Amino acid sequence: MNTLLELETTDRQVALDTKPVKGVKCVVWDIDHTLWDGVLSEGDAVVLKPNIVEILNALDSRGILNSIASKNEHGDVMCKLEEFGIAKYFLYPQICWNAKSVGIGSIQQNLNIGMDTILFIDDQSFELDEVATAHPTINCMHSDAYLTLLEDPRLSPSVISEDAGRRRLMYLEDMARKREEAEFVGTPESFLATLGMEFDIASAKHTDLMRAEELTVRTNQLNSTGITYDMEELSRYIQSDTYRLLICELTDKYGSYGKIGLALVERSSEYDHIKLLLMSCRTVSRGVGSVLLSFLMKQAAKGGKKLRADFRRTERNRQMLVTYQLSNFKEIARTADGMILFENDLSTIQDYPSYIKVHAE
Amino acid sequence: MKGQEQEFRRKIREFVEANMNVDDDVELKDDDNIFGQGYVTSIFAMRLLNFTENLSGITIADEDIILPNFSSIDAIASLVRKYLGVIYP
Repeated sequence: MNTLLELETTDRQVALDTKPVKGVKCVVWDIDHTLWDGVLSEGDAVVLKPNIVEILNALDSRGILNSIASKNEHGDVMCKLEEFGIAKYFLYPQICWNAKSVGIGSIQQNLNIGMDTILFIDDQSFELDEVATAHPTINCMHSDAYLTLLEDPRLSPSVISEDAGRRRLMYLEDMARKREEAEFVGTPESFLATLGMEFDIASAKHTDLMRAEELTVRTNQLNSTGITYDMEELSRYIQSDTYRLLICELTDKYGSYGKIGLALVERSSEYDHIKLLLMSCRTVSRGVGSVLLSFLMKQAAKGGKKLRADFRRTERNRQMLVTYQLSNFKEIARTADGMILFENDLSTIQDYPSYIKVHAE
Repeated sequence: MKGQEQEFRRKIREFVEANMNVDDDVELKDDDNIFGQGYVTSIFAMRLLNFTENLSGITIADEDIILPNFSSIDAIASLVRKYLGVIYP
């Protein structure tokens, strides 16, 4: 019995008991003795462990990504995974002889998610310790427990939107874009023009509610207040005359990025007041982080109203602060508990970037 | 320090000019308003912020992330000098 592992498990249990469950966005798998029985590099005839295919498939349809951190020959492992018909599930597999913590750092950067939303599974305490030491906020699980994955609260999102089932595919589409971008010679903006991006802004409908709730729960970096809303609350806003709930979809020639933006606006005769603004950070590299904000500014100006916004600075949302302040929002008040009130005099409203076509109701 | 600042200004100018949507024969002077000429967008302002921080190794405080501080090469150089001046008085 490994004492360190026992302690770790106990600590984690205490942590789970006292804090709300943080969802896992990606499971990183070790391969030998974890995904399959046997050691590939030793010439074993490896066999997938029981229920692995079902588990990968279920996680995938829940919108949870899968990746690999394995000390092995890349080509050999990928071949074998193709044979088993499961290679498609793994994004950014890190199969080499480096420390696994390094590979996992790579996975985190490529997927652009928090380390605390990654779950690493391995059969060796040494590897689990090495990774947990380098990345203190990562989730770890011994491979002995893999059959509990589908019942684990961290891997059981309460709502699964349509976008969730497509999540892996959207990342694959992203990789195709990144490859094209890497080969492109020219300014970043002229590259963006080749994508044929279209940004659709519409009032949220009941069929959007699941995805809207998911966005409030999952989005951290480009989130103006960090407040989460459930479907019931959002549904009330849809029905209200004083509020407008807007949801945005981005597409380009490779496909749709899904519904990636949300804005909740309270309207009075004098003000439009943005209660919540969020954008999936996958859109940041596409330079569309401020398109929704520009739209709201144009709308307010058209209605002869002033524009205000609630903002709460969190550890993760600097990019949203930057978006607001560089679009000329200024702080006019701040409550004792840190809620900032921004106001924009609408004297400078940027046009939409030339590389994106904006459709709005 | 003076040579360092010249080098810094040159790199900022290069970055801005590389991203301007106008003909190459437009030269950006140090006190030209980067945003006023319609050369670049506020989305670019965010990239300019990142570039400035990476180049100078500083992290700019929330209250300094405002358009006037990024509106010209002079403005950016002053901002960076303010931060580095604290580190290298």
